[in-house]
Amino acid sequence: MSNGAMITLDALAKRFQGPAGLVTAIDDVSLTIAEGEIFGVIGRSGAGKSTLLRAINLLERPDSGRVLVGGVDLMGLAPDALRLERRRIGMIFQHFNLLSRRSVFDNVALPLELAGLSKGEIRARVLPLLELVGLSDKAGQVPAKLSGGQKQRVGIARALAAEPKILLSDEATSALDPQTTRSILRLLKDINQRLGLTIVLITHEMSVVREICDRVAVMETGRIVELGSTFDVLTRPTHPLAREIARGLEPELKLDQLFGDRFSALPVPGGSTLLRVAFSGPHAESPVIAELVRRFNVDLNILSGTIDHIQGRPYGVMKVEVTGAVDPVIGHLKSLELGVEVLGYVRSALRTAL
Amino acid sequence: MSEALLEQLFDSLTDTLLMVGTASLVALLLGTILGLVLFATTERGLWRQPATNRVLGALVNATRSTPFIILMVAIIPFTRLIAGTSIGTGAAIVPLAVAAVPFFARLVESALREVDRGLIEAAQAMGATPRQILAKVLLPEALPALLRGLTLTIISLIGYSAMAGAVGGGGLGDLGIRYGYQRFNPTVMLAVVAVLIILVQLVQSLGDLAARRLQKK
Repeated sequence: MSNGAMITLDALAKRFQGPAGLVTAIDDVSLTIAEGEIFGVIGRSGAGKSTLLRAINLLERPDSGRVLVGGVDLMGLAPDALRLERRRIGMIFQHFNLLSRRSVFDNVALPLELAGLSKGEIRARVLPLLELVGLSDKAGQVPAKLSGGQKQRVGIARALAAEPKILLSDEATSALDPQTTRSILRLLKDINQRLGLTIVLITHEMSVVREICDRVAVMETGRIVELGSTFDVLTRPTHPLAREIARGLEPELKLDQLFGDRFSALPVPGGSTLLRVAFSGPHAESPVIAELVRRFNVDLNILSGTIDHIQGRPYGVMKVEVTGAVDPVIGHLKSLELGVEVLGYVRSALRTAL
Repeated sequence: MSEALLEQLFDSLTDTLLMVGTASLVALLLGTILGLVLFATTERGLWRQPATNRVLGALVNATRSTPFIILMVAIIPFTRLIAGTSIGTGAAIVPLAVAAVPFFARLVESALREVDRGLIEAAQAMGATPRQILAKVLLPEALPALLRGLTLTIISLIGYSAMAGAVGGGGLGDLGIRYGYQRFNPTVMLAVVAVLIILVQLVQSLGDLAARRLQKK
């Protein structure tokens, strides 16, 4: 797969007339999505990600800027030409948007009917697609009889029917349970690899991004505030929102609940220090903690720890309480290119008792 | 019950069925089109024509707020233009249709509004033309609701048709008023009411059955 630009958004802007005046949905967004890439856009609801996604097939026409898909400037097209281009861009939805009175087969056939294919041609395309999404035995069912995950599989088969180059995913797993979400994400990844499809997905769940995205953009009030490889954004977020979303994946540790009155935001003489250590890079898998204890003669109390693989690379986060001289410890961790952050301080339990 | 009464009942029923049936067909045809236009021409519709929408909306409301007996008399010139006469069962069909078209059109409009906007969006994303969205998405998805609307329209028309006598039309209502009420014959009145009840019940049951069938599919 070549790595040319499949989608280029250039200085897009879109404002809506809301009940309380003009609302800026997209604020000067420019980005390029490569062919064959899985690109995620994450943000809270109302951040403008849905509008941004819909700008790619012009379901929402931006007020200004350019939308290039496969080199074609969509905003310059006449309605008929735009409709033809849209057939090359599949789309799946949070609430599936299947026609309730059509069977699974006929739902998948719809884009082909619209394109004017014959019954025979439609059959020849729909059946392999149903097989691809694992629903061959449900062809005659109506959507109401299917589970959420099965409905989304029908949605995916339908989106692929016209053999698009791009798949837009609008919170496609947000209405599904975690297990079903994983199976749908695996299917998307599989399609991406087998068909070389470019996928753009919007979500508010970092776990979705971590699972399949190559790159991710973090959006807030219509702007992209951070953009990079999934690994970088998750492990070294710079923008506060990106950091908050990335940290959302870690086990929650309520320090003030854990330590009560002993917790302090400022250093306490004779107390201990709470550190968050992020393991990535060359030393992600070295026995760092044991070495710290030996070399710096400190006490280490592990509060929480996770190890994860993001895009196939190991990434771990550990929260520890360090009693003793903390500065050399921090210096050493930094020299190993590990992420270190002071979360707070804890007064000595002994002292409080006295 | 005398044979003469039975014969009259049968004739009147035929007249009612003719008036209601024809008016319903017209309503189905023109009302569907008008309903589609009302639905599509709104500010966020498939075929934005806010001015057209406002004018048609006002026209529909005006027709619907005119009591049928007044409407019937008020449009006599129009009736004469269409039916060639303003008197008789055939002439009564015109005002019945004129009343039924906007009535059904509103029901069509609301049935289309009930269709999830997401389905329209999905079809647009597939590159569907407005006409395809109408034919392949909106109408099929709204079909059960459209059928219930048609049932309601037919039943309302059965009620309206009772006033056809005012312009010299026949039908069950006319029979009940002239023979049952004005000649003070309770047997005729009861018989007419009984036939009307059975007729309405029948239409409702058939409509429900058909709508249920469609919904299941």
